[in-house]
Order: sequence, then structure tokens, then C-alpha cells
Amino acid sequence: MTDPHSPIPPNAGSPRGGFAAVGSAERTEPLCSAVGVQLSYGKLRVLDGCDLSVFSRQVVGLTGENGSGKSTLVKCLLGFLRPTAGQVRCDPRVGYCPQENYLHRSYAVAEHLELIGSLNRGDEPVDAAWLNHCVATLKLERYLSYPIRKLSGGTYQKVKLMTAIVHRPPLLVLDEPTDGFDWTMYLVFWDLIAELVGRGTGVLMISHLLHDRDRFDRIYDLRDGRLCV
Amino acid sequence: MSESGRRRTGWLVFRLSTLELWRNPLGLVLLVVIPAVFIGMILWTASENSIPLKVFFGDETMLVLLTQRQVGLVFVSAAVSGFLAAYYALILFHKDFGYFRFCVFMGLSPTLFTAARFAAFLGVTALLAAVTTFGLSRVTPLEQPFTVFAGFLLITVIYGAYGGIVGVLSRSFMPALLLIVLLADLDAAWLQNPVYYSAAQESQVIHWLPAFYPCQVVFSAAFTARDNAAAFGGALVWAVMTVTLLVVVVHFRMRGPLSAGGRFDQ
Repeated sequence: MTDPHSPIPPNAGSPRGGFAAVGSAERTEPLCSAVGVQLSYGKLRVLDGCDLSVFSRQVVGLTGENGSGKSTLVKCLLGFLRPTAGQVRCDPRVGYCPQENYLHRSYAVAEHLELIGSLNRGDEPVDAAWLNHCVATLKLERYLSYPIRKLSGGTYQKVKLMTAIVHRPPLLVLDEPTDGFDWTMYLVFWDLIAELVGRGTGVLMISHLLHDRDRFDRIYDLRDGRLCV
Repeated sequence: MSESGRRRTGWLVFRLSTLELWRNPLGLVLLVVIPAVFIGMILWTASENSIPLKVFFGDETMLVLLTQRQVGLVFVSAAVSGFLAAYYALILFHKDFGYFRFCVFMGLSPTLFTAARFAAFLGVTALLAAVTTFGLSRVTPLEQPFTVFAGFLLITVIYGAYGGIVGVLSRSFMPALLLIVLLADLDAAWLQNPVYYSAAQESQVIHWLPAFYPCQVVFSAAFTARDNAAAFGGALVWAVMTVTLLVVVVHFRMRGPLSAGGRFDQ
């Protein structure tokens, strides 16, 4: 069993999933961490002392039964929910793809990318080459002028993913990001993740696809409000 | 983010907000249908018989002799402007609000969001007030058309801010819409009716309602040549109060943690 409190990720730099090795400077500071996080809704305790960390170039999985509190833990990490107890820390330059369908229904895909890109990059323009590469890889070219309400489930999911990665964030948090993807797109998705990880991004991903364990450096299982590695 | 970056993002949010209203087919239909139906009914049913009506001028009240049609046209225009402004604000501050909470998380300043959204909203209210004043001037003579425009603008700002507040606080669209219809119906479309107000047993209660002062600005400017500083001042106070409350409520919802369950689409 791995010690989840260890500042050094156990699988950092492992060649699993074909990801690049981690540099020593990148190991010391986690991109996001939770220590002893508790959260209750009234008498219902959803999280009961969770410890978790994600480092640069690491792909961390978070699994658990439906309703076990995975999305809640992620929202605590990102600051959307206030934990009842415990500490969280997270790199502010995070790219986040939530589970729910939150995109504005009357905006076109290109308008979404323009707005989210302008927010994340601040004064720097979005890297056009990276943007075009992602759009081409996810086969979104023909949908750029489509309003969100007209997209199919899979394409909607691609746009959600695009808004999370458009600014090439150092930390990527994905909540069941492959819902609605066909098999080809599923493989393309992992290629994109590998590319980002190769550039130094740390990834935290909620996923039920346990047959893909090999793609993760570490997997946390959330049971009865507690995390097991 | 630098000042130029903020300006660019602010302009983008403003542009998208305006497009959002333009892309709302029901909103565009209502913009034409509601005034057409109400004004059409007045033209069809109201007589040219004269009625003496009270107009509020602060310490004193003036009695003005007006035809039923004149009164009906001005009063209905005010009520319709208020309702439509509240409806558009509801669209801007309720629909897809979770998306903007997400944008705030991604770096959008809530102040910038409110300012850009409100600028788009003001553009719509100014247009609505201008169209209403112009349309009204075609069917009935107006003594002070620019002040009538200012009165309509104040009604739309006050009711728009109210619609925005309801939209931000309400979780679902229908109850929010019903709340807007309720207040617009009770206040602007009933108690502010000059015929009702002139004969009211307890008119002081009507003075406390949000549409009272702007409606008196419109009535006094439409039918008299006198300035009405008292009504104008009262309407300005209401406008500042409701807009301030809207800004506070938007900030509170944008910055605060998500409610239980923590979903962006609720």
C-alpha cells in the first residue's frame, strides 16, 4: 500500500501509459492537495477525512460508487464547496471539466472557446497552434459555428473538454470526461492527455473505467467518505 | 489581468450578452406581440370621454382632464415596458447562470460580468423606452417627449433590476417568471392605473411601490408642461436602490460556494 501523505508521488515518472518522466523539481510541490477533508450535508457525512495529491506529469484517477462523493471532493479541491474540516490547496491555473452540462446553450462553440480562452490566458493570446491542433484532433472544425443546444451528447462532451484544455493548464481536473465518446474518440482523448502530461500537466480524473487502470499513475477509491489508494 | 485585457473580456461578455437576447426567439416575439395586443385593445375599446385624474407633484397634486384613450395608452405603455424589461433581465441573469459561475471560477471578474451584463441590459431598456415613447407619440400628443422617455427608462431600469434579482435568486425559471408577472401585474398594471390611483382610499400605500414615481414622471411629462422633480427624484432613488441590490445579489451568488450537491446546472 502506498502512503497517500507522501510528498513524492509513488508512480511519478513511471513509464506507464507512455508518459514522460518527471523532473525532480516538479515532484516536491503538488499541483493540488487535500488533507483531512471532511464535508457534511446536515447529518450526512459525505467526506470523512480525505487525503489526496496530484503532482506535475501525473495521471491520478478517482473512482467510487455512484453517489460516493467523488464530484463533491473535486469541488472541494477547486473551492466550489467549503469543506467542513481539513485543508485544500490548488493551482489557480487549473483546467476543469465538470460532469454536469453547464455550457451556455445559446453560444456557439467558437464563442465558448473565445470567452474561456480570454479568461484563462489573461493578457496572453491563446496559443493558436495548440487551439487548432485540439480542434482538429477532437474533430470539432465543422461545429465551431454551432450553438451548444444543437450538439449531440458526444460533441458536447468534446467542447467541455476543449474549454478545460484550451489554455494548456498545468493542472487538469476531469469529471467523467469520456461520457458519450465513441471508441476512436476515447483513444484520441488519451493521446491528448498523454501530450499534455508530456508537457508537464498533472491530471486528476474521475472515472469508472477500471479496465484502464494502466493509464493511471495512481488511483484513489472513495468508499464511505474515505479514500484508499 | 491588465486593464486592456479586462476591457477586451468586458467587451466580449457585453457582445455575447446582446447576442443572447437577440437569439431568444420568445423574447423577440414578446417585444412585438405584447405592446401590439395591449395598445390594440386600448385603441379598440377606449372612448374619447374625458376623466379628471390626479398627477403627483410632491407636496401638491394636480387634477388633469384626459380622455380615456390617452390615459389607457400611456398607462399600458408604462406597464408593458416594466414587464418586458423584467423579462429580459430574467433571461440575462437567470438562464445559464451556472455557466457564468463557472466563468468566474476560470477568472472572470464578477464586477466585470455584472457591468457588461448590465450594459447590455441598459442598451435593451433604452431601446425599449425609445420605441415606446416614439410609438406613443404617434398615437397621442406628448407634452415633454424627452422626459416621457426618461420616465420609461426609469421604469425599465427599476423593473429590469427587479427581474434580475428574482432571476439570480430563483432556482427555476417558472417561479421566477410568475414572481415578475405578479409584481408587474399588481403594481405597474393595476395600482398605478391613474383611474384607480385617483380614486384610491389609501393612496400612500401606492406611493411605496416601485412603479409609482416613474409612472408619475411619465404621466406628468405626457400631459402637463410642468417639471416633476419630486417624482423624478423618487424614481431615481428606486433605480439606484434596485440596481445596487442587483449588484450585491449577483456578487453574492457568483462568489459564494455552490449549494448542497454543488452543481453548475442548478
